[in-house]
Amino acid sequence: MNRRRLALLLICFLMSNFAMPVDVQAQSGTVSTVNYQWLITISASQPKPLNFPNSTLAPAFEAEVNVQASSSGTGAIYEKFWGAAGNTLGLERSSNYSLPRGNTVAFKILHDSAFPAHAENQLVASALLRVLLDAQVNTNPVLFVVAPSDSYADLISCFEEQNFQNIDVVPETVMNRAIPLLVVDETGRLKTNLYYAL
Amino acid sequence: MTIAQMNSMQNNIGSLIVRRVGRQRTGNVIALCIITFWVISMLLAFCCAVGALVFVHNAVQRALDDAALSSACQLNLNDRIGQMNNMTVRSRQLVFADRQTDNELLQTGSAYEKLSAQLLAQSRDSAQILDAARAKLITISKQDVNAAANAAFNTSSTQQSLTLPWLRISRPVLLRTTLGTVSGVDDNAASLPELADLLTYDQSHSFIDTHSNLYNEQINAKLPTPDNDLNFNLSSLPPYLNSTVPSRLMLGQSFVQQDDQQLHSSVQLESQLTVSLLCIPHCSTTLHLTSTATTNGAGQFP
Repeated sequence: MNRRRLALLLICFLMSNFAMPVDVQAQSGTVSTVNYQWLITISASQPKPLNFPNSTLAPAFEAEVNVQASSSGTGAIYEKFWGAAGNTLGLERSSNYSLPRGNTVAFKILHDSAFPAHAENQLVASALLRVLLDAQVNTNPVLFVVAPSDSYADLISCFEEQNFQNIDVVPETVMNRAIPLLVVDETGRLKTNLYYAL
Repeated sequence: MTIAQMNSMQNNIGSLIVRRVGRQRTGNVIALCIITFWVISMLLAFCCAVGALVFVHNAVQRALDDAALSSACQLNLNDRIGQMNNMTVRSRQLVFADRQTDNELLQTGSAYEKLSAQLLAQSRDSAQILDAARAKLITISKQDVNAAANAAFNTSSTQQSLTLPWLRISRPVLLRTTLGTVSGVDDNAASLPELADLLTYDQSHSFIDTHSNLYNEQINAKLPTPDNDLNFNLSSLPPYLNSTVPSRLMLGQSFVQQDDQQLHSSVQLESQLTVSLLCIPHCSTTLHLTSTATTNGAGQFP
């Protein structure tokens, strides 16, 4: 009887571990380097621009896009975005998009604050979609997006504001032509398959 | 004529001269004293009047300079002009980059084309939002400047009226506040070189100063068609060079008055005071004083 319970517990334990997405294999913020060749990190923060008194554009947020090869730890700044109140206001490109054609890409989102504002997530979503289009032009398949657990749900809603929908609610005819986007949280326990609703 | 007769005649003439001179000397001194006293009094009164006028003029000019500097500081309070210029340049780059991506994905018939068009529409909307925020900032900064100028001038100039028995200098009045810019100062925002096509376009349209690599002053750096309906106004402001250029007084000749299309970077105040001579009816004149100041330069953009 005890052996049966022990075996049952063991099976449950193993099942809970392998319930994580296979293509992410994320463990506490670290993303596996097996499945992708380039990691594009989007770091969001709240600096001071446009936060002057009576500003209609405050609070403003900044999203820095950093590109690094999975084989090396160092990266280079690709772009910086600024936004406020759900509007992406500005772009400063620091280098050219120089990924080799056909290489696979994964996104990782980071926030300075533990509980980022909705406008900050809106800027992140907008920045990510723009880089995603750059990747598409350069024929770089995007495998997945890793989002912090604290902002995961809000980030999904920001993608939905950009006309992305969960696979469960999008009609199949539209899905065939839409843009797939797999978003997982950093623990790997939450996963959402998004598609662009035309 | 005998010698005795001559002597007596001489004595008579001498006594006559002495009497006459003595009489004249007594009257002349009094007259001379009166005249001298009157002249000195007039001179003193004139010196007092001129001294008072110079004193009041300097005091009012000082008050006006204080007011001009205080109000000029309001123009770029918290580096709002510098940040707006920098963000305008970046908004322009966002629209241009989105247009390029949209052109590359055009007619692919894919969902990416639709997404690209959607993001382009958003960036164009954002450019208009930024332009509206710039227009609102012009109104806000004008209000701030007027409030600061009036407050500083009224505080400094309350004691500057003067009344003497023969002269009255009225309390100075802040007549006019004019906003403008400094001629020959470029925009603080530098060109962003990574979008080569945009850089070439800007250079061909003389939007960029080739020496400083900064955008030229007071331009509306419109994008190529079909995005030429958007406004990207860039104002004159000293750029950040290791430190921020402080607010300062400047010569009036460098001041250029401008309309409300652009953000203003300098202010010119004009004051007047009336000087009246009370001893002469209807004898008065008006003195006009001006002071010009420019706001502090841009801060470091994050």
